[in-house]
Amino acid sequence: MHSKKNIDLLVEETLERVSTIDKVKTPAFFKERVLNRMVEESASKPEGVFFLNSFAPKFQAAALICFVIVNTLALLSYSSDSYNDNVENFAEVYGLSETDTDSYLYQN
Amino acid sequence: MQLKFPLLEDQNFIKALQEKTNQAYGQLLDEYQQKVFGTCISFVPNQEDAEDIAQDVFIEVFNSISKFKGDSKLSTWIYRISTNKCLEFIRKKNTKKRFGFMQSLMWNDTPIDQSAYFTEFNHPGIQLENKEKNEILFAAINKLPEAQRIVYTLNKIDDLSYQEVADITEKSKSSIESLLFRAKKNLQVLLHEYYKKDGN
Repeated sequence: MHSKKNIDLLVEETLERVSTIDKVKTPAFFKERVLNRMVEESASKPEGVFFLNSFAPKFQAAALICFVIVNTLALLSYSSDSYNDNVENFAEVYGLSETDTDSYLYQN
Repeated sequence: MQLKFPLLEDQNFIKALQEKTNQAYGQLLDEYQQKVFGTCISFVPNQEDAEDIAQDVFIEVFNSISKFKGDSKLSTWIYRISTNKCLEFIRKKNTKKRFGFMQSLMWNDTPIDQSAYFTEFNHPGIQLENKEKNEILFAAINKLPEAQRIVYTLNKIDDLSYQEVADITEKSKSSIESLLFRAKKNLQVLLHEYYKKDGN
C-alpha cells in the first residue's frame, strides 16, 4: 500500500512526465496520401450538389414565403358556397343525391 | 522551379486554396502537416488514429476553405478544425466503449476497459521507461471536463502558448490560465485517487 507521501510523489512524477514527450514526425508519405485523397474527393463530388449550393438560404426563405402567400390566397378565395355547389354537383353526377329523375325511376 | 507563396496568410495564397490548386495544397501540407499531426497525437496518443484524424483535417480544409472568411488567421482556423476532429473522434470512441460496456453487462461478455479512448497506447514520442506513467496521465486527462482537457492538451502536450490557445478556443488569456489551473488541480485529484486504489 502506498503512503500519502509516496502517492504525492507519484502524482508529481506523473504530471512531470508530460515534459518528456518528444515531438513526433509525420509518418512517411503522409503528404502524398492526403493529396491523393483530395483528388478522389474532388472526383467523387456529385453534380447535384452544385445546384443545391446555388439554392442559398435567402432563396429558400423567398420560396417559403411565396408558398405561404399562395396557400393563404387560395384559402381566402375558397368560400363555403362554392364548396357546397361543388359537392352537390359531384353527388348529382354520380347519382348520390335524391333528384326528380330518381323518384321518377322508382315510381315506374 | 515552383513559385511559392511567401506568406501563408497572404490573400493570394488563400485564393489559391479556394481555387483548389495542387501547388497551394502542396505548400499547405509542407507547412502544416507536422503541426496538425502533432496536435492530433497530443489528443489521441496512437500513431495510426492520429494519422487518420490528421488526414481528415486536411480534407475538411479542402472542402470548407470556401467558407473561410479570414476572420481569424489561417493557422488558427486549421488548429480549430484539428481540435474539433480529435474531440469528435474521442467522443465516438467513448460512446462505443459505453455501448460495449452496457453489452458486456447485459450479456456477460468480457468487460471492456472504459479508460481507453484510443485503439492502443502507441505514442512514438514517449520513451519506454515513461510509457506507463504517461498512459496513466492520458487516461486522467480524458476524464477532465472538455474545456479543461482542450486547454491542458494544447498548452502542456502540444506546447502552444497561452495566446495561441486563447485564439483557437476563442477565450481570453485569463480564462485560459484559470482553466489550466483547474485542470492541474483536477488531475492531481484524479491521479491521487488512482494511486490510492492501485496501492490497495
